[in-house]
Amino acid sequence: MKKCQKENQKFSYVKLKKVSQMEMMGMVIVVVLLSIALFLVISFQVGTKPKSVQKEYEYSQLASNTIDVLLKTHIKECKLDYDDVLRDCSFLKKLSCQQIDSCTKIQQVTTEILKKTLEPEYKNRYYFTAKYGGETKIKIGTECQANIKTKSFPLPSEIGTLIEVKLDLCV
Amino acid sequence: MKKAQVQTLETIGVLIFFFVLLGLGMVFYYRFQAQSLSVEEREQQSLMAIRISQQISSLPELECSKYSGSSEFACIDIIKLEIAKTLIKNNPSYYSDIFFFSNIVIQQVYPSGPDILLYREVPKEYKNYQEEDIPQIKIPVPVELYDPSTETSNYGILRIAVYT
Amino acid sequence: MMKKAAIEIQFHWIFVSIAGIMILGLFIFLVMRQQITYESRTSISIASDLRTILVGAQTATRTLNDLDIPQTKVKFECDLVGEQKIPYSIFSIGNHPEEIKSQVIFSPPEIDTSKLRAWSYDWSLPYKTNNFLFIAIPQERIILVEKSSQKSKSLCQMINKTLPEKLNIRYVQPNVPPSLTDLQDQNNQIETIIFCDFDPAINPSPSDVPSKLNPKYSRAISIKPTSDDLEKGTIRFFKATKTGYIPVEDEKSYAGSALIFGAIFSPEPIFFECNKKKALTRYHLVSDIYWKKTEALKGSISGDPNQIADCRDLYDQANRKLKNLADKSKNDLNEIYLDAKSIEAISDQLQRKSCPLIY
Repeated sequence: MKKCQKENQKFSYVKLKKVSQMEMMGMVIVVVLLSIALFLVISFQVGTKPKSVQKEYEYSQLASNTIDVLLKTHIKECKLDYDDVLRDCSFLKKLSCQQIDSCTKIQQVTTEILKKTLEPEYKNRYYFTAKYGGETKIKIGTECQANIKTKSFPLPSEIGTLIEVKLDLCV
Repeated sequence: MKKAQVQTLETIGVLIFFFVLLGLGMVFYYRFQAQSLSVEEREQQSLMAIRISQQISSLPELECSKYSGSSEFACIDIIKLEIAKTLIKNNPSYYSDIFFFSNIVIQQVYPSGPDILLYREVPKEYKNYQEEDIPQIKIPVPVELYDPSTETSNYGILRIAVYT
Repeated sequence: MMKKAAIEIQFHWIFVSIAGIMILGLFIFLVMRQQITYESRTSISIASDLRTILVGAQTATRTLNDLDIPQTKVKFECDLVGEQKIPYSIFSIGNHPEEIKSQVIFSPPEIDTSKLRAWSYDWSLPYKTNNFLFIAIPQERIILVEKSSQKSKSLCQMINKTLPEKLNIRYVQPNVPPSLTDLQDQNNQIETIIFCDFDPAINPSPSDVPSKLNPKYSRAISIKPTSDDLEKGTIRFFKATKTGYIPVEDEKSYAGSALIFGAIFSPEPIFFECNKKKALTRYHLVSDIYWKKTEALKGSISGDPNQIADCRDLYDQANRKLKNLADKSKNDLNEIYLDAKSIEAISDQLQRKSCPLIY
């Protein structure tokens, strides 16, 4: 009887030890699985960049409104609006704005306006051109290498041809 | 008795471990939620900035009308602007529904001129802060500044800063 | 030993049950809190998005926008509160209300759809003071009823021409089929019947009643212009039944065609009156600006002395009218209309004399 009891105790002790080990293994597996899941979630979160609605709106407003408003701006020295002075620069070249020719005046005005509008945020990251008959009459800034937000405005000249005014924002 | 005690301890141990894991999981989850909420909050504030910019561009108190007969988008009548400045100041509760907590300035770019403050309402918690120290979302919008007496336009920028 | 084992098992099970119930309870509590938080968050987010959409739709005047929104119940309310009848206007999603102080929005009281139609139209009397926003659902129909008079025909045609084509509009003419009684029920949620320049009879003949339409979703208004240009008159709201029309409240006045459309898209008279009052608040503010602008123009005008004198004289005339329009206590639409017409005539003269325009 005593020998039987001793053997039973020994057997249940061994069994208990194996069961505990199994339970420990189970907990380890749970912890490992949880860690992997958390790692995946965090890496996914870090990987995706949040889209900015406001930035997209800002780029589109800047690109389109800058040219629209620029063309309507009155240049006091020339007693004409910007678009008329640009036409003169592209085609006739007769205008004198207080002894400055139309092209130089347009260049000065555009540089001043774009600097105040687009800098410091877009420093050297914009490219403004006015082309007529394949020739670039006005060029300000540096060409974008990639990712452009662009607005182009075809300005009719006096003889029906078009002056292409374009602003590229490098975003 | 000893065996039962061991088993009970084992069960309690498992429960404690389980709750520790659950607690950790909840901490991670709520941190993740908080981060996602702050991103969403930022998006909403961006939307508000866009909303304000759209409203100002077509505000009857500011928009210009020219001989063409149609009203122009992104065009501000400078005579109306000077009057609207005072009107908005005298009717803060009405216009706070449109402009919320924001700082709206019209910058005269060409020809150069002084900035015109149209509206400014700061949240209570930032009342004593300097402007640069208040967190804000900024949107610049080029606008035409039209003078109806001379029928000429100047170049301006509508600077909207929504306080976050 | 057997007794001990038996007791031990029972205690073990009791312990497990208690622990299990506690854990389950904790999870249920967390899930319920999360659900409440999630619903609040969604409501706030949708409300903010909807607000932005509505502002965007309102910005471009005389345009119809088809809007896709999350499938959710949106309620619109506009009421006059207190002794001073101050307009209180909100839209709410779930338990989240958003007050709309300045925007004038005419819409059904409750919308439960993912598609909306938003149409904006400016209220100009004679200058633009507001862009009204009208919200319609796809399951909505407008029925214009004309009678045999020139004014009725002109009014119905004006409304038909101005309302966007995409809206579901039916035009009923006298002695031209289909008549009102021939109109079939299209399972619309809103049916608005507009009587151009006449009140429907309280006990109408059977042919004058849209008997096939569900009266639960029908309402009627009569619009009676008192000016030749149709821009001024009165509006009356009716409740439509299977056998006739019951007037709801007294006649309401209108000035400016935008208010006609406001009545068409208002579910009830109080909604119309509340939005009208909001519109008038803005009207006075904008008129104040034009009054002061005219003073400024008078002082800044330059050029030929004869022209300056003519222009200043016209500005003085306009100023007297503008001062009335800027007066917040003057809300009689008849008087507002007359002053607005005078300013319109003065503006034409300003244009002829090449004076800087007021508006």
